Amino acid sequence: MDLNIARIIAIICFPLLMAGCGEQVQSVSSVANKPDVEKANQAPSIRVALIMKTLTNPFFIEMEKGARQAQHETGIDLEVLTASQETSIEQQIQLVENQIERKVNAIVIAPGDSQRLVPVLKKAQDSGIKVVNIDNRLDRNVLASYGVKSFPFISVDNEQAAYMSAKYVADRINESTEVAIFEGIRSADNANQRKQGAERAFKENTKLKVVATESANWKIDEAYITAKRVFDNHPKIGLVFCANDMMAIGVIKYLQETGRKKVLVASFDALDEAKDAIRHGQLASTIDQQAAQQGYIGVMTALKLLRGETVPETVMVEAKLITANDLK
Amino acid sequence: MKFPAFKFDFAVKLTSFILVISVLPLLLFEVASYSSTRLAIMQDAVKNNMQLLSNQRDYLNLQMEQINGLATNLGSIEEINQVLAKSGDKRQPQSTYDLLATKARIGYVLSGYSSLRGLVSIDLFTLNGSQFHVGDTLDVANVRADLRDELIKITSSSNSALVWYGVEDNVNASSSNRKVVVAVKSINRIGSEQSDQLGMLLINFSTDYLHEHFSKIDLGSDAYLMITDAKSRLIFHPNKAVIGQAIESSLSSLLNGKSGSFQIRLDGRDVLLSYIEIPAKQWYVISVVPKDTLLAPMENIEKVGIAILIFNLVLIALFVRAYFRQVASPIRAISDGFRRFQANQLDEKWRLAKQNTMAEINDLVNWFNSFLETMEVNRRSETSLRIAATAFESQEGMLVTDADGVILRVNQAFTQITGYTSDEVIGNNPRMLKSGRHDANFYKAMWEKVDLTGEWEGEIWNRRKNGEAFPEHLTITAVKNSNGFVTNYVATLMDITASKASADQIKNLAFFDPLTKLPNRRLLLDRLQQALASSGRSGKEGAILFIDLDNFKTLNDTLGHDVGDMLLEQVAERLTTCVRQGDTVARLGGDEFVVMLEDLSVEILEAAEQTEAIGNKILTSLNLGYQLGSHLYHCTPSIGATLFNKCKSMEELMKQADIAMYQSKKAGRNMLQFFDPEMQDVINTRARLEADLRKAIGNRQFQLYYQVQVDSFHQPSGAEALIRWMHPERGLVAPADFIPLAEETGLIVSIGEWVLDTACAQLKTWQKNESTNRLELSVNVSAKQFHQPSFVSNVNASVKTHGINPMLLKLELTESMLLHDIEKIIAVMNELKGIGVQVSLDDFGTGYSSLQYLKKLPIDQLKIDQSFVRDIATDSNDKAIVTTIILMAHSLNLDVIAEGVETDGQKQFLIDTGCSQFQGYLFGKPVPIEKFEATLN
Repeated sequence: MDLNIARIIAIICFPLLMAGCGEQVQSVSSVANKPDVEKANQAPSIRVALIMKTLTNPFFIEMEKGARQAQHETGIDLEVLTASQETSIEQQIQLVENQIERKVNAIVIAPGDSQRLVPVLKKAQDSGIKVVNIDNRLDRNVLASYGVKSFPFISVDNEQAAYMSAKYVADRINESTEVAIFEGIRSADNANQRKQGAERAFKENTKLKVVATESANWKIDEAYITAKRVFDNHPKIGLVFCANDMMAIGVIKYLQETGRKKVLVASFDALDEAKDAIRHGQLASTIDQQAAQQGYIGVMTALKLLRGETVPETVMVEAKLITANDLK
Repeated sequence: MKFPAFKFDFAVKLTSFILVISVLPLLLFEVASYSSTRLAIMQDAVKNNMQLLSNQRDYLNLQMEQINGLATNLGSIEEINQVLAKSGDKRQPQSTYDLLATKARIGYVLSGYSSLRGLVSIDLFTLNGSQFHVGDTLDVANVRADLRDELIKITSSSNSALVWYGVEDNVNASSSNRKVVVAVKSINRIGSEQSDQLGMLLINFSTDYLHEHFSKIDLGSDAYLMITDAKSRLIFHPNKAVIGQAIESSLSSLLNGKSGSFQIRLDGRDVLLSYIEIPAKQWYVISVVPKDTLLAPMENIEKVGIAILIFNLVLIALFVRAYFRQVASPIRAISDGFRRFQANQLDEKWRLAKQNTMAEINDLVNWFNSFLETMEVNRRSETSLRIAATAFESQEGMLVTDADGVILRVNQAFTQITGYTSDEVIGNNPRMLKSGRHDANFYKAMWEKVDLTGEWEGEIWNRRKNGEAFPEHLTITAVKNSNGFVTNYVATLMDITASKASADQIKNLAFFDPLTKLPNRRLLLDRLQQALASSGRSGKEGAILFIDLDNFKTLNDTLGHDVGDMLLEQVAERLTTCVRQGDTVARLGGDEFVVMLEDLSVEILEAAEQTEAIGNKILTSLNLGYQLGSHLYHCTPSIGATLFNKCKSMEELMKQADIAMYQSKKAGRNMLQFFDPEMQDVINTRARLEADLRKAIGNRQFQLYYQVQVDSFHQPSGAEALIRWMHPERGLVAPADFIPLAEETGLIVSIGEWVLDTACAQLKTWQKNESTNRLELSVNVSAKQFHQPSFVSNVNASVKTHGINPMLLKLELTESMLLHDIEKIIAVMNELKGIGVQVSLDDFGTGYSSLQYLKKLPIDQLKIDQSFVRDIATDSNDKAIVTTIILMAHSLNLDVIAEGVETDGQKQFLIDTGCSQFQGYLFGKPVPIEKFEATLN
């Protein structure tokens, strides 16, 4: 009997169903090549943010290349972020904040300032983000005051490298010579280290006298302007140490414009442009601090942290002295 | 549940009818309202979607306006213009410082605009390949040159307007924003009238940023937006992975005009697709809303509609079900019942259950059941009749009688068994079958049992029509009516001739020797067992004789087994004739036979003599010649015998007899040997006595003694002649010691003849003398002698030979002789009377003498036995007997003589009673003739 009723219901309902299906529609698909489902649904990859100081220094381009190398090798998701200028510390803090918001897995940072970045990095660490410090070391005391032991640090021995570069030019001076030092951002640890390294080298030669120690904040144009002021005050300066190549190039521009061809310039970073200057005899020495290597190791260290491995507190990348001899 | 076709059809019709009148209008109403609601919803959805698309288009426009503003600003920055102009000037190569410083400066400028959300990067390309870049990567070494060149080409012909290139690969291959929305603008030298292109400004806008916005727009479940560029590439799609891909041309070709909306099946789903164009760009914002989502509100309407429908259907179902249960099903059940009744498929106990229905239908059910009841009763009686008829024609013979035993009916089997047809027996009494093998008592007992228990069963012999008697197994059952009176008898009979024959056969094989038909060892032992037990109870002796044929093996070996078997058969026959009824002759096997004797004397020695007698008879019989086919053969047996003699063990007895038989063989064969030496002695002694007795007559060893008989006056009236055996070694042997042997051996006849002859001779002697010529002489005649056919003639011959007065010769017969064949005895006595001799009845009173006989007997004298006389003075019984005998004799006119008179008292009593003659020690002992004659004097 049940069967019969079911059949009757079916008969009755048929017109109803037909009414619902009355309109004939075209059938299409939206996308020709559907993305590979597996690829699309891949487990969310590890996201690492590399935050650097500026987009105007080729040094950081090298650093990005190293980091990209690590990205290609491991398949992680790498975001490269920079502030617009070396001095844009607030912008850099904002970048870190953004990354915390985005919930990246790790931040590899070349801090523009050794103290001001600490609170935001502490915040990142507290929200579970691994932090790796490269290039410029964060201030240990400030870190300690925020309860952070330390972040793994990858860099060169800035003091020693600066010493090497400065020593190379100092050794060429036999008569009394005035010396000028162009510093980086003073609140940056590496700037400080380099200045100290240079000072140590210059002290070893009693003929040398540092008459000016000015900061051009790592910037090429600021160095050019500062050089004008320094040389106006101390026209006899015969030797200049710049804490980076960009500032050295700015100084060299001034020296060439003013015909001071005998002034020896030592610098730091070994940019391609700096190497060209060495070849042209405009620059005496620079330091290759292997930016790409730092970027690479920085990212790799972050991955190791994410995997729960222990990493050395400090990795010192070898710094190489580059002179005209090295470029022949 | 399966229903017959009729029901199904009816169900369909009824259900359809109800559906048509109730559900159909409802359904039509529902369909109509559903359709119109649906239409309204769709129209509403289209309107809503268009509104939403319009909003999103405005949002996108706003973003683009911002980019446009940015590009316009950047393009008008003089410093940038100068830098581009300078770096584009090939005549004036730039110093490293200029290059780097310019980059840095442009960077500062550009980064001032990079705060615009969604911006990926801003690039400036000079025509000679220099690049200034701000954005998500610093590594501008890796540039898609072809894309860059194509973009430059596009901008060169676009004056300085911003060109939206659509979604494209990021020109900076290193960037992690691979798909970006690209806007380019030509940078022209400022102040130049004609379009003097210095470079190109390229702005990459983030699709991720757009994604972030558009993916948040909620159009309802599973509904989504798409944005396509002029090349139909997806700027936005909820699935990031397909961004940048072109949509199918089949879909893109449908997007025409400023806006539109249509229903389509997209990716296997029915959707409402609406689109709106971003003006002058041929970009479209598209919304895709699944119909399911749109029509979700319809679900409730559908649900309610279906619920009502289902409720309706359930009501109908309940109604139909109730109808079937209450009306159709009961009627169907009744109709089924009739059908099955017709088809004879109903159990006899089957009744239609009371239905859960209206009273009217239940009435019908009740009437149906009572109809079945009636039919059942009819059918049952038919059935029992049929069963009875079938059962009656069984293999057993059956006959039915009325209460008086008149045969009413017989079956076929009866005819086959008895040979009588039913016509021949009906109306007769079953007595016509009687075989005559059973006596009246048997039938009486049989009918008594039937009356008592209503049944009799057993084996009985009847007679067939052809006269042949046959055994049958018969059962008689009385049929009683309700009042307990017998109305009929039913007899069933089974011919058991065959089974009985085979049973007999089996029994024979088991217990009888097939050759001689004699009992075999087993049956012998069985009977021996019984005989031992019986002997133990009665005290009567029994005996076993082992008989072995001498030299039988030689016969078998020389003439063969067939001849041997013939001998054995004849031996068996002879043995059987030698023994008494009740004795057993058995064959143990080979030439060994056993004879078992029962009911012998209580006295062991007497039993031994009886055994010996039969043994001798067997010896004699088996010693006769045998005719075995053409051979005349002589054969002797060796016989070993033993008496039961309180021996309880069969085995021991058989062993003893066997040993005795071997002794017999050892002792020279053809003889009987007892196992017991004492018994053997007895037999031996007797044998010697017999031998001596045979010689005694010839050797004149017998002698007659005479005892005087006197009258009441003490005068001798005669004498009784008594035989004495003067044995040469033993001396005088008393008659009691040899007469029985003489009787047994038949020697008594010749001895009797000698006695008669001697007595006649003595009478003759006495007749010559005056003093003795009146003396009578009594002679004892033994039964055997008396029955000799020649007895009368012998007596006559003796009387004549000696010429004596026969009146003086008195023959004394014992009373015990009268027991058998009295007529013949009387005849012989009359013949003797004819000769003239007197006849006296000896030992009168000891036997059974009927007065009737006594009257008939032609006797002259009664002789009162000495046993009565002995105690006559003391025993009143004996007195009475003697008195009676004397009175009786007087009344019969017979003389009376008392013997054994030893005292005067006895004599006086006898005289007083009327006895006139006497014999006994009081008058004289038996003495030889010389002494007797001397006493007379």
